[in-house]
Formats: sequence, structure tokens, C-alpha cells
Amino acid sequence: MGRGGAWVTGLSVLVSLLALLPIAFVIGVSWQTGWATVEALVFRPRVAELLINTVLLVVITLPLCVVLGIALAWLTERSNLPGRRLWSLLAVAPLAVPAFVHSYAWVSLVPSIHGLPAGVLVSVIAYFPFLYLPVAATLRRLDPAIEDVAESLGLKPWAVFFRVVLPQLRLAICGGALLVGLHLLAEYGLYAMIRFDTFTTAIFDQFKSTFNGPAANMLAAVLALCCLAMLTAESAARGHARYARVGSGSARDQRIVQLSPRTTAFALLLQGLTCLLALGVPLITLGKWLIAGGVEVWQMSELLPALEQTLLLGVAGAVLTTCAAVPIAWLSIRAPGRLQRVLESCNYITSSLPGIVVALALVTVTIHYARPIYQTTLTVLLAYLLMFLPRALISLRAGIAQAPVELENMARSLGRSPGRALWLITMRLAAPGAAAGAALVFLAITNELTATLLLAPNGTRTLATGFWAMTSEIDYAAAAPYALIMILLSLPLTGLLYHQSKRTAGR
Amino acid sequence: MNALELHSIYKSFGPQRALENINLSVPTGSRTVIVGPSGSGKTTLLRMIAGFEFPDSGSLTLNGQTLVDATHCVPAHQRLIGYVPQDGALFPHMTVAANIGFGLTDKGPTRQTRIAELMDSVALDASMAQRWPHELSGGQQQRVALARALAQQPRLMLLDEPFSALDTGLRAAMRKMVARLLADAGVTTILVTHDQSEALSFADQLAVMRQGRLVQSGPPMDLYQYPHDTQTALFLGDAVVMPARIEAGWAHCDLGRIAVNSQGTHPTAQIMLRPEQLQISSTSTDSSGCQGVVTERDFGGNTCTLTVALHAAEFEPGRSLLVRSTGLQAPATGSAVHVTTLGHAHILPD
Repeated sequence: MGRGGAWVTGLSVLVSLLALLPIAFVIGVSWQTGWATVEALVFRPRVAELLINTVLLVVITLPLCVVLGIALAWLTERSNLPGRRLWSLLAVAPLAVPAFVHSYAWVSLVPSIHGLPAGVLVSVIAYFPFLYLPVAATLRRLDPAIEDVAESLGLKPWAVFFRVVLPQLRLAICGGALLVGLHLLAEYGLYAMIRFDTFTTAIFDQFKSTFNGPAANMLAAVLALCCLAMLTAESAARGHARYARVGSGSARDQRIVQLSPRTTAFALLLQGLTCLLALGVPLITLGKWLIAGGVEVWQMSELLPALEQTLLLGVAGAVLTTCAAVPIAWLSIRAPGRLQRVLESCNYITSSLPGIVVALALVTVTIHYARPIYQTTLTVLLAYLLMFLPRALISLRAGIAQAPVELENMARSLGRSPGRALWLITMRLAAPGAAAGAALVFLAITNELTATLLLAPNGTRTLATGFWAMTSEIDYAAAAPYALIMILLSLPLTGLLYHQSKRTAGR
Repeated sequence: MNALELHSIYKSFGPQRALENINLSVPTGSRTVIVGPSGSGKTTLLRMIAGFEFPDSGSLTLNGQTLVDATHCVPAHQRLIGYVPQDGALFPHMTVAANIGFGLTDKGPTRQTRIAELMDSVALDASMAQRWPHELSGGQQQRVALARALAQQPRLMLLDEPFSALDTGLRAAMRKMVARLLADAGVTTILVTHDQSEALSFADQLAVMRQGRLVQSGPPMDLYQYPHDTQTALFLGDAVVMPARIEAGWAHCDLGRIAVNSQGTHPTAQIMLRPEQLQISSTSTDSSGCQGVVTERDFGGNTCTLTVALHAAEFEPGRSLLVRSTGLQAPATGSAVHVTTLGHAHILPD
């Protein structure tokens, strides 16, 4: 690796140390608060109530998401359902609608909606695509020969599905469920709007009333523990079996199951209903408010600056995060090893922590140790970096993997200097991956609410915080344009996500 | 005159010794093949010649220019050494023409002419020029990789198992084409492979590597007939290795009396015969050779491999041998046969 390698390693260590900040914060404040206070703050009825709420939400929502995700994925990938390409696109489209906009749509449609049932309903609708996407991609990639063999061994179609196909979906289901679970723990806007108390909403309220007090910090510590428990559970559930296709030669196309007319009708009903709830409700409600509000709700003097701020933060955050991911991505492809794996997992753990924990950590640290950057845009960008680095990392890594070192060597043997070879070959080939990673970070920032609310300097108004301010004043009509612009901004990127999942499946 | 000289090259990766005291001379215009099992260090050696790896010690000169020694080393891009890796390593974001033209310094129409010439020389149709690498078959990709390496008129061409990804029929045809092309261009070539038949057919000079060491080098026929040890003998093809007593130009062994190229005396030597030196017949025509019975018959089309149990095996009772026979005249299992030997047996030095 030489001197360049040492530089890259140094930078990766730096980024990863930064990523450890929130964990250090959780441990640090617990230590400082002292055991007696911690005990008093953690072991009390309020925390038990929040814990029960959170556990119930996770335990009910996750299985529903899994079942719905698998059912829709199987129908669009493996059956002759009419219009399955369109249904597949529609199953991903709800991702373009921020979770709190889903919630806003439901509250304005059924104002009395609240509590656990509402929480479960909106969560399933907002998050099931996280399961649909990986499951559909895996279904597309499975080796059909394995199913042929199972059938030749005498298994009926249902048995083939449960004993052969479903086990192979394990990684996709675990990964998707983890993503949904972490969102359930981290989401603020969705649950605040339907008045369902989770740790995140409680921390937020506590922060607003007592600012940076031990009560909020201790709740954050419990929430962080919940997240770590979920990470551990997922990695245990993943198991050690090998799921990649074994054997050489190219796989045949997937078999398509012919549905009976009755099953087709039922399947269409399921697809239609999901689509109606996940896309119809938000779009109809938004349309209603936009029509009711007329031209007056388009307050350009407020909307345009909000759009501008969002774009600025989004672009700056995406560029910063992608650049910060370069050293780690580089190491993981060109010099994989134990150090690199540790560095990478630091970043994954932090990004799985809720935005509110990251935000609290940054508030505490900047107040005490870096006063000049407290409540500045820099701190907000730092929060985005910590929360969204893995999104950039994954795409970037795939991009760099497109440019094996052999190609760079090839260019050198054809007379290009190492620097020129890097630029002409590796950078050029990794560029699409880097762009995709940056786009994903941009999408996340556009819809980020919690950390932005806590950290942004006074006077900052993004589309998300602007939308939030309007709904807090129950001015649903004025909030509608913000929501619409957020959805429109997210649409192309959701399309990108859809396209990427097709490509990883080799199509 | 020698184009390439390697002198006491050593290289370790951590505690793993990859290359140990490698000395090799490659004559100008020749085709040298480095052959060895996987993990023997042959690819490391090739990458070192290309300039992608650097030795811990030792020196490397090309046409009198020092490429690497204790004090300095020439980077890969200044070596003018062509390199064709196993999978071709075509640049996926460039067309066939752009790939081939990558190392050319010409601009404008001369560049186009040169690309067309190169494509023609590797028997690629001109209509392929605007295709993308993923639209080509494995054989076509290898041709593009070869044309790309030839474009810069290299002083030395390195081929790293370039035919191993191709299917059997295509492999032989590509090998012939490449050999002819490189001979016409007069380019000194080093090919690395683990396939012994490819090595024997392509090489002017063969070098056998094992566990980071160069165990033997020379003309392929010499190595095949007179290997230095049993492992090399078996690596280069099937062999019958058996104990023998050497006396005055003859080896006495389970096959009877066989001529050897040695006048010395040795009570316990190992001799080696290639299976094609053994001949079987149904009746004994002379007193030499020995009797046996066919115990197994493995029909393989043009040849048939027979397992023959020898009757009077003094050194190893019950010994059986593999003998090749033409497929059409192979005796049936259970037949009594007479085994005779052609040519000399080779006494293994170890």
C-alpha cells in the first residue's frame, strides 16, 4: 500500500472515531449522571410505559411488514399477475412519501385516529417497501434449479415455497426487518402526529421542556440500548448458512406460476388495497388540501427559501458524506482486513442510532467542547454525516468494486502513470456508484426532521421543518405544498433505488 | 542474446515466502513458459516482471536496462512490457477500438489505421470495433486484450493463463494463433500456466516452479524426458516410477532389463518411464520384457488405458502398471499380455 495506503487508513480511522461520538456520549452521560440518578430516571413507570409501547409497536408491525412484503414480492416476481411490472413500481413508490407525511394524511382524513392501532397501520404502510425491495431482488436472483430439484424430490408447490424458497429469503427478510425496526425506534414525526408515545417522541418532549437535561439523556441511552439489542438480534437471526448460488454456468430464468382466476382476483385486491392505502390516501389528502387551500397556500416567500435551504443542506451533506466514505470504501475493496471491518462496523452502529440520539450527542458535545460550532450549519451537516454515511458507503463500495485493481495495473502497463491510471480507470468506473450514494444521502437529508429540528441554527427552515411548523399550528392546507415538493424531490431518487435493486439482481 | 535476466529474486508476503532465489534467462524472441501448480508463485513472478510487485531483493534486467535492483526500480508504466491477464481485464467503459487504442500515442487517421491493423492481426472482424466488452465472447475478449497489449509494441509480452477461461477446442486454436502472431512480431514472450500440455506445446523454454522455487528449466522435451525429480516427472505427464538396480548401462526392475543412459552402478535407484514407452502384445516375441494380466480397461476413444498386473515382480510383488494402447486393439480384461519397453529409462536423481 505504501504511503498512500497509510493516509487512507489514517483518514478512515478519523471518520470512524467521529462515528463513535454518539456511543461515547451515551456512555459518558450515564457515567457522569451517577448510578443513583440513572436508577431513578430509568426505572420508573414512565419508562416502562414507553418500553411497552415500543415493544408492542415493533412486535406487531414487523410481522405484518414481513408478510405483506413477501406476498407482494412473490406476486410481482413469480406469478403471472396482470400488470406486475407496474405493481412492482407501485410497491416501491410509498418510499417517496416521508413517513410523517403519511401520518399527516391519515390524521387529516380520520382526525380521531391515534394510539397503537394507528401507529401500526401507518408504520406498515410507510415502511413495508423496505421489506419488499430486498425480498423481490432475492426472489429474482434465486437459482430456479434448486426449486426444480425440490419438486423432483416430491415436494408440493407450497412445500417448495416454505422449505426451499423461504429459507433462502432469510438474509433479505432479516435485513429488511432490521431497517424497518430501526425506523420504528427512530421516527419522531409519524408518531408525534398521531399522538402515540415512543421513546423518540418522549425524548423530544423532554428536551423541549428541560433542554439538555439528564432525563432526556437517560431516555436516549435506553433507546440506544434498544437499537443495539435489535442489531444483535438481527445478526444472530442471520445465521451462517451460505445463500449465494453454488455452481458455475448461468442461471435460467425464473419460473412463473400461473394463478387461477380466483387467486388473481384476490391478488389484485391485495395489490390494489395496499396501493390505495400507501399512495392513494396521501395523494388524495394532499390533493384535497391543495384544492381547498387554493393559490394562497403557495406562499412563495416562504416556500422558495425553504426549498433553497433544503437543496443546499442536501447537496452539501451528500458531498461531505460521500467524500468521508471514500477512504473506508477504498480500504474495504483494496485492502480488506480486520481493522477495516472494525472501522466499517463503527459507522454502521452509529447510523442505526436514532437521529435524536445523534442530535443530543452533538448538542452536548458542541455546548461543552466546541461552543463556536454549536447551533451552526456545520453541526447539522455533521449529524447527517454520522447518520447517513453507510448509505454512501454501500454504493461507493459497489462502485469501487467495479474497478478492480487489475484494470488500473493494465493501464499502467500500457504506459499511464499511477495517477493517470487512477483517474482514467478507477475514478471513471466508480463515479456512478459515488453518484448513487450521494443521491441516497441527499434523499435522506431532504426528508430528515428530528435532527434538523434539534440542531439547526435559529431561522433555518427546510421543507421538512417548514411542513412540521405548519402542521403544529394545525394549518394542514399550508403544509400541503411543502409535502408535495418533498414527494416530487424524492420521486426520481426512489426510481433510482428501484432501478438499483433490479440491477443487483443482474437485470 | 538474452532479453530478460532475473537474478536471485526473493519475495515474501508477511511470513509467507512467495519467491525464493529465482534465476532465469529468457532469450530474445523466444517463448518461455513458466508452469507450476496453483500457489507456486508463478503469477507473483509475472507481476513482478510487469512492475506491479517489487522483489525484496534481487535484480531484473530487460535488454540490458536494469528494471529493478537494490537501489532503484522502473515503474510499470515506463517498462514497455505488454500484459494479458487471465480474464483479459478489458476496460468495461470503453469500446473495443478504445480499448485497443488505449496504449497508442498516435492521433487522428493513423490511429484508426493502426487499430484496424491490430484488429486484423488478431483475426477480429472490423465490425467489432464499436462493440462493448460485455458483448464479446471469451475468445474475442482475449483477442482484444492481446491486440491492446501489442499496440504499444512491447519489448516483452507477459501472458497470465490467457487461455484457461476458454473451452478446450478454442483453447488450442487460440494458442496456435497467439504463438504464430508473437513469432511474426518477433516479441519475446513469457506465458504462465498450470496446464502442462499447454506449457509443453507453447514453449521454446520451459521453467517449472514449485513452492516459490524454480526447480528446473530447459527445452520442453528435455524436461519431459529427463526431469530432476518425481514431482516434476508427474507434473509434466503420466509416469511410471519404479525402483531398480543399475548395472553397466542397464536397469534391472520389475519390467525386466531396460537400457539407461548411465554406465555407473547403483543398487537402489528410481527409474522413470513414460506410459507411451511401454508396449503390450498378446504373445511374447523376444526374451526381454515381462508377463502380466490385464485387470482393468478404461476405454477413452482414441486411446485405451489398461491396468496390467505383473507376474514376476521381484521389487514389489503384485505391482501393476498403467499402459496405453490404441483403442481399437486393446486386449480384454483378463487377457494375458507381454509388456516391453521402448527407448531408455531415465534415472531420477533423487
